[in-house]
Amino acid sequence: MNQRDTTYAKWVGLAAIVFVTVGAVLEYWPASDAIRWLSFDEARGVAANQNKPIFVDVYADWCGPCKAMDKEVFPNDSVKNILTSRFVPAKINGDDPVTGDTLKKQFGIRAYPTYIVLSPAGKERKRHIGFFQKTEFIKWLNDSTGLQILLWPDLQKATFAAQGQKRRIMVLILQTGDDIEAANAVMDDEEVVRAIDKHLVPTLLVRGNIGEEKLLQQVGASPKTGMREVIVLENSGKEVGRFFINFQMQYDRSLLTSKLLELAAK
Amino acid sequence: MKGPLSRLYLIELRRIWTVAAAFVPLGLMLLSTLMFFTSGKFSKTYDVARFAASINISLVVPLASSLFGVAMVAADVKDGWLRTLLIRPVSRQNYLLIRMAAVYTSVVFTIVVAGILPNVIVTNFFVKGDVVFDLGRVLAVHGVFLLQALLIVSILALLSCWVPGVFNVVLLAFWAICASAISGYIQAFHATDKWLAIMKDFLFPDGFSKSVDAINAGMSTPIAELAWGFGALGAILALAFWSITKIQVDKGSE
Repeated sequence: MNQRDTTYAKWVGLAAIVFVTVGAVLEYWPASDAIRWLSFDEARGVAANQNKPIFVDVYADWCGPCKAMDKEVFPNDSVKNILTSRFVPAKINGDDPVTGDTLKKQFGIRAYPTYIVLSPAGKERKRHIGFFQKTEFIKWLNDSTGLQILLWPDLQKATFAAQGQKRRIMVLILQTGDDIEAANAVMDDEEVVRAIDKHLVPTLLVRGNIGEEKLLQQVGASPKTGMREVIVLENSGKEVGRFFINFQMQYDRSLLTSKLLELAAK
Repeated sequence: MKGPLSRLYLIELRRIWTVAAAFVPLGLMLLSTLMFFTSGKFSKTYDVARFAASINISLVVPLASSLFGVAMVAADVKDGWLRTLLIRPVSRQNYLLIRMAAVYTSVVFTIVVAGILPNVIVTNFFVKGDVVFDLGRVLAVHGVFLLQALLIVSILALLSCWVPGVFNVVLLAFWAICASAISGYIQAFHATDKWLAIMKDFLFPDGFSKSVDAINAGMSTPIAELAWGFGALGAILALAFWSITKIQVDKGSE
């Protein structure tokens, strides 16, 4: 018996070479990408002119799922068609020391990739963090309704509506755009929706959204915390009361409902 | 050769499972249970695959592999066990294969006890928020972090052929820290340099851990990441099998 037999080393080494070659080809082969991505500033100008929403892809060079989106999803014909015909597509490199840092702070980006749809005026409509399957991505882009809380009127319209309906205004304040989907899940509860529909006119403010800092000051939002805040206002703008949505309220929506009803009737 | 090899496998398992070794799965189980429990109690949504991945990849897999893989070959050389073995009809490569199989079995057992069971218990009895359970993703994530454990065991086997005692674990930790620091530096100051970005991919074998991230991010099959992972695993195993044929058994690696 040959004690120094190297058969395993040779075969396993050969397999390693095959895998590394496959990995290198998949990793470094340039992806075909026919979408003409604009910088964020360019996209804002084009969107305002054409009155189209902006689709923003916030990525990083080292991010695997971002690369996978570039290779697998964006080159897809249906995706290209939707993105170029209905949106103004923009890419932001989150690691770019000049523009990336500013925009990352502005949009409260905490993970890559983050996809944000903005109105032509630059107001955030919806966002998604992480990789999308092609079909899910198309569905997400096609979903014009988005999340329910994003359909709430803005503060000005809510004030008019509240005056017309003689109701109070409920302002939901989110600390970051990342929280929109989770907050929607809390506010979309049947009991909560019924209470709001019956007694209040809801509106949403998100810290970091363009143009919303002034509105946050106007409603007297508390200094930034990690929690969602609800402020109930008279339709004249005078505060009735406020509370933070704590863990108990998130899990037991009847607590949230009763707090809303209490402030609606106060 | 099957008879002697399977006997050797059982002997290696008995050598690993001393009374002290039993504290490894128990200790890790206590730690991971605390982490799973805290996550289950305070998270709004408890994603089973995501928590399984984060706690196993960051805690259970590296600690279990390091504790069972410490001085894997060097100790056998030092105490003369390898020399005794090689008098029998066992090739050096077969010795390493069996030694790694025994260590890996112990690591897998520890992962089941400390990384999988607590997650199952917490998911079923202690989660307060909504549970997200996607069977396909859960199985894929578990499969990949078991491969990550095999990769760490292979690295420790390779290093243990050349460095004495516990230094295989020390060297692995040093390698991981340096790779992370260099990656961070490149990312911060040379993010747009194409060649440095490619070099960064070769600093540390992280294909499997990237695959876990990609699976949890919702990608169907992260083929490139898995290919990198298998490539690294193969290269390290090949080097380990080659190294075991080159070391001096009489003098020992020390």
